[in-house]
Amino acid sequence: MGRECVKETLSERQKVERYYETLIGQGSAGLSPDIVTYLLLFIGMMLLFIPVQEMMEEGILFSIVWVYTLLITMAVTFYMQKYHVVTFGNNKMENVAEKLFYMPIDRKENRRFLFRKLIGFLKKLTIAGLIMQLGVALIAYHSLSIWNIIYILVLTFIAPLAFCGAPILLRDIMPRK
Amino acid sequence: MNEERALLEFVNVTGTSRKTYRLQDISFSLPAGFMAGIAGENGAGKTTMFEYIMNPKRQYAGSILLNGKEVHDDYVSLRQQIGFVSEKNQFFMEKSARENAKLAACLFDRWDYDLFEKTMKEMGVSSTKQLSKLSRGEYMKFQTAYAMAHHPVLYLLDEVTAGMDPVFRIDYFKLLQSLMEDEDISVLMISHIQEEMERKMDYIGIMEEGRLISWEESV
Repeated sequence: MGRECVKETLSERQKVERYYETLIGQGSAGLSPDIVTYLLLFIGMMLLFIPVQEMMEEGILFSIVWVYTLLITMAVTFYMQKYHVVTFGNNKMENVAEKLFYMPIDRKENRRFLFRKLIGFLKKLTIAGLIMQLGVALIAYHSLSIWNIIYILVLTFIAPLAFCGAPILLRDIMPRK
Repeated sequence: MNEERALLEFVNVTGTSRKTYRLQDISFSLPAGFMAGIAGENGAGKTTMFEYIMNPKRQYAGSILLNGKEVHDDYVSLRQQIGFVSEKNQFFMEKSARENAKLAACLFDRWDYDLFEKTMKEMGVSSTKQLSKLSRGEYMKFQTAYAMAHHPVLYLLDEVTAGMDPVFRIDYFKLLQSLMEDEDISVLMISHIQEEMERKMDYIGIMEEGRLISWEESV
């Protein structure tokens, strides 16, 4: 079980953090989103080992890069799922944003919390991607290009941030439809 | 009536949202320490009145004041002070009452977990039961215990006693009366059963087609 909240004076930020900590601590049934996340990342990040220089030389199709972008974005979506949805053993899902609709929660703090989690994860992903891409480029080509960095930034940061950040901005807390 | 301190005031409240049913020029004042009931037929706008208070987005022109402060100036603070019992309230239905209470404890400043458990026990509802497995009556009892646990100054009760057996209704009104004795709070309850309101409430309001056609002390 998650840490139980005790009566004390908490800032709005602390309240939001404790809420999600308790929510995640209570557990969620079914296949863990984290397992799906790392599975997709394992496949998606394979492409990051291929330096941009080689992709240009070999003429690797742009559409393949998009497929891998999609895989990485899906992985990030699954990572964020634990903050958006609770799943139960009977294949039922409940939306966290709906449950927070009438709650005394600071909407801005809630958004900030979700963005902190998203950006924190993307930062790690980008650093790992840069190490893979720049490392292989240096070893194989003994040179670096600005495209090595742009490529990783788009694939592991900008695209997932746009895709997973938009719902947080647009509809973080909403009523039941 | 106006000599007493007003806990909740509606001042010329008129709906502005196109999406929801619009209320028209609603004004009334509920003093602290009293129970009021709003009656009216289905579709008269009773639930919409609560929605104007509870929805985080302002959907009206005019003023809704709680203890003299406009409720939508600081929604988080407002929500701390209101106990909301309604079918519209949203909980994790596949979680137990206790798990929902533990989540609430993170957000409500004055959450009293012991009081929640005590009230649940007194009302004969298991706090380990999944909410989806509770009957409507038990679900309303859970919500009442949940509302009481964060020590609100105003209770908004939306059709709480609808479909309940007479014994439950008597017990429920006793519970409300005990709340009124203990604390300086007010209750605003909506129901389509006018007779029940007239017997139990200090003030009665009648709604019809989005208007509050009367608001007076109960005889």
